[in-house]
Amino acid sequence: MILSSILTGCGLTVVAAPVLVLVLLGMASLAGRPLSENATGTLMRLALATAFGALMVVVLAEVVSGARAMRADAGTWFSAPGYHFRVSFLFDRLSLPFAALTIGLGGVVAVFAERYLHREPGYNRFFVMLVLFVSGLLITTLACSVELVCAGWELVGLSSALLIAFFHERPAPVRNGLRAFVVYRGCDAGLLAAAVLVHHWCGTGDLVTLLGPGPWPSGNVPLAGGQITVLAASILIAAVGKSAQWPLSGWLPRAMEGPTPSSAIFYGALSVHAGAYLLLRMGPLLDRAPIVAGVVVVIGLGTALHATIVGRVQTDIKCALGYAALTQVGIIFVEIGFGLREIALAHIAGHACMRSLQFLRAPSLLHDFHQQQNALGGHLARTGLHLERWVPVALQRRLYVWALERGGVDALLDRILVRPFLQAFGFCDRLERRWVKYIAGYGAGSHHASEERDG
Amino acid sequence: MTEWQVPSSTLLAIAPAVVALFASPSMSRQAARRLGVGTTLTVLALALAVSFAWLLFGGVPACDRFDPGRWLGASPLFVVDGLNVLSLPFAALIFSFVLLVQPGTDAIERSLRRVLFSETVTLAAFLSSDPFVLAVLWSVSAAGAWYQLRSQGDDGRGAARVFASYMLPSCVLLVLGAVMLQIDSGIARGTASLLIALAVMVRKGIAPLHSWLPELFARAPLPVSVLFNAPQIGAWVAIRIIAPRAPLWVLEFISLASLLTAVHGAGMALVQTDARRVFAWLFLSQSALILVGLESQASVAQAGGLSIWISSGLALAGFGMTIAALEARRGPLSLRQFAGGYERKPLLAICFLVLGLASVGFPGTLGFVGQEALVHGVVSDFPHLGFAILVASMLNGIAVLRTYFLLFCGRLERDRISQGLRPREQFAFATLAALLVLGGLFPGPFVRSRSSAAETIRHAAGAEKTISTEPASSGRRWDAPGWTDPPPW
Repeated sequence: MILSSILTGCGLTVVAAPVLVLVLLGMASLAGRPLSENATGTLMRLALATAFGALMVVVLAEVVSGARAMRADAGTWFSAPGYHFRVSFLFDRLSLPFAALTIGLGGVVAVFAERYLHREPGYNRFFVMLVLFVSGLLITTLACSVELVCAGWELVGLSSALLIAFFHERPAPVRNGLRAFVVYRGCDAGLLAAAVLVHHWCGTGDLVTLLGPGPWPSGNVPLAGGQITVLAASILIAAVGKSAQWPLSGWLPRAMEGPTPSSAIFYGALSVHAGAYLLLRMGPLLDRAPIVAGVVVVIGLGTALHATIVGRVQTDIKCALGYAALTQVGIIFVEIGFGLREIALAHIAGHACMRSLQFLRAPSLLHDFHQQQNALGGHLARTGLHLERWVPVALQRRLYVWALERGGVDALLDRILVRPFLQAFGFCDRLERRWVKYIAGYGAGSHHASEERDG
Repeated sequence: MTEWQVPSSTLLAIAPAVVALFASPSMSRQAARRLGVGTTLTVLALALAVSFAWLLFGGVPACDRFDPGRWLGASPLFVVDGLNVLSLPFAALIFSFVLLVQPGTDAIERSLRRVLFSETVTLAAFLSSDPFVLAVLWSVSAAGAWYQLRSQGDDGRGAARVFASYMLPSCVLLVLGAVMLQIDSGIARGTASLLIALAVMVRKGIAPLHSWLPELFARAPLPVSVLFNAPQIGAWVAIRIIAPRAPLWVLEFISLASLLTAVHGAGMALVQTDARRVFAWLFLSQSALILVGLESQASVAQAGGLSIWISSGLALAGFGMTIAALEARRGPLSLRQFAGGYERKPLLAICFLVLGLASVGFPGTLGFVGQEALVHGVVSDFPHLGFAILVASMLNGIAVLRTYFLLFCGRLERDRISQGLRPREQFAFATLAALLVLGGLFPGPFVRSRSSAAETIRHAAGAEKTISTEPASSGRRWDAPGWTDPPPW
């Protein structure tokens, strides 16, 4: 009994530690007295070390007891008639490695950023966003209910958008942050819809009820085929947006406007894999929805091809790394689609660590090259020429133009989705103003400050 | 009903008006602010005391022995019960907050007496459940806003005309509905419900009866618009008069219209080029969501609607006043290009973002719990259209972030002189933002109180149903909790 309470406490501490630091940093900012760089860094390290220690206790307990999953239940967060939002965290063979990655890489990036952003005006803001991201991702990863997954998922999206716009005195990062947020929010609707449907069909949002009591990766979904397909498709929409899969991958290179440490943890390591994680978690749904699994394979394959071609013409290292990451995430999607979940998990872990290292070294790339060239006494040999050897020259030119335009996907999406939306509501707005003008009797000669504002 | 021996609820309703009567019209701006803030904070403390007293005395409906209704030999006029126990401090908080943060550029000394009268009208409305009394208070409150709008010179006169074109019919509809409710016949009650529903739809800005609302927000001083709309007297009439009496088809009609308005408002917020109008459309969208929940048949959705009423009302009042504070520093807020200036007013920017996100129910804020309960409940009422709430929520979130980016980011301001918040503004904005965030982390007691308020609506509906002469089949399906029903897919 005591052991169980200790383990539950440790499980909850994993999430509570960063959340507490988030509240502390946030409240200090709201009070107009942001903490000093030292205090912020120390708090961050303390929180992540505590969370990591607590996580290791849970791992140890599972290894010793041979249990394949443990659950830490914090009770009901709130309840309304016929609806209970339970806060419960699941520590199994899928969530444990991902949580360890989140805390570990979060810690590495935090320590790196302490020096990298030293005396940067947005130092405090960066750390608030970083801890918001870590908290959100831990909630998403460990959540045992689909509603909790949604809550964490949206926090991850917000922190990502705000960090892309970190250098907010320039318009480009801000525009790109907004673009990423639009994609996130649009795709998040898929996950929110899935949460509502799960509650509606299962009577609860509990993942164990939805996916069956068996340990991951096995599962048994107690729903009919059509329902499973709808659920899996909704979840796939959310995964595609968060993992920047084709055709929604246009925001990823734009996201590189953010500071390097955030690019490393978001688009090299964790955020970009969150979609893959979600699909892994919902794997039993994909098992019973072969059409959706097929779509996952096609999307993954398309993304890998698109990213490898477009990545070759990038002229800055962060974008090149971003596309390289996207290629791997595409391959991970293919693995998930084929049901190779353990391989996909190992692929995520390896790729996240390697890519974060590359991103964190990116600012020193020229220095590294010089060192290597000095050591070799000449230029480095060119690599990655196999595509050029295999692809006919005529096709190479077309692919080159296609890659420069990033496939024209963003422009196409703007044309078929964004523009009609804005035009439709713009038309409604004009109609509205005409109607109001008619009632108000605003004459052509009247010219007021607010009319000038209205345009 | 419990009878209190101290004039608590009566005092709560009339105290601001008494102060307004004795306030000198020639006082200085600082003195006016001090008097206004002092009065509204005292009223807030009184409202909290009344709420705690109600809880201590067992949570049964209560009035006091000095109630004006008793003097007239009728039933009590001002009753505290499960429905208004939180609405009273909520309304009082909005008034205190707005007076505290109202920019110094506004002529507070001129508007103070009207604001205090408006507080009396709002609190009296929240304490009352009589259709006639509500109709009178509704009309007085609309007349007050119209007068303030009209006194804005040429700019406000046209907007006052638009406002009057919508509000006058809504007052007439409400009075007619109140009269028809007295007739003891099924058809008359149905017609009365429809008339009152139309009045509520106008007041809440439900499409297509909404055009006055963006115009009011665009032309009137923001404190006037916020104080007229944020307490949501329209929602109060909806739960006090419509919900217990209206037949099912009227409720479904209101819910569907509100659902479409929520999406329409969210979409319109995204194409606006002026911060005030973005705020207006966001307000309209969130306000429609409240009505979706209140008129729903699932009690979880009702609890959600009641939660959003409080959380979103507070957050939107704060969000609106951050726009007012920014306007006072910068002038009209165009969204045609990036304005920048985060460095000069970081706390205002943070409060703007937090309050904006809280108003659209982002996770980690108090609004999230209401939104969550609402969407789960409404999907059981409207299995397909219910998902429109998700679309509205998605678009509203984008609108908030877009406005934040356009107003505070994207440009480096050469001028380095601080435009930071004054201490009173900092205290008010930060406290409100912290309240909404901490409330979002520990929402249990709040949602419990809203759930019990939803039960109060159901009981009222049950009581009305027993005296209703309508056939049972056309009555409300109150016992359709949703999640226990077989899935309608």
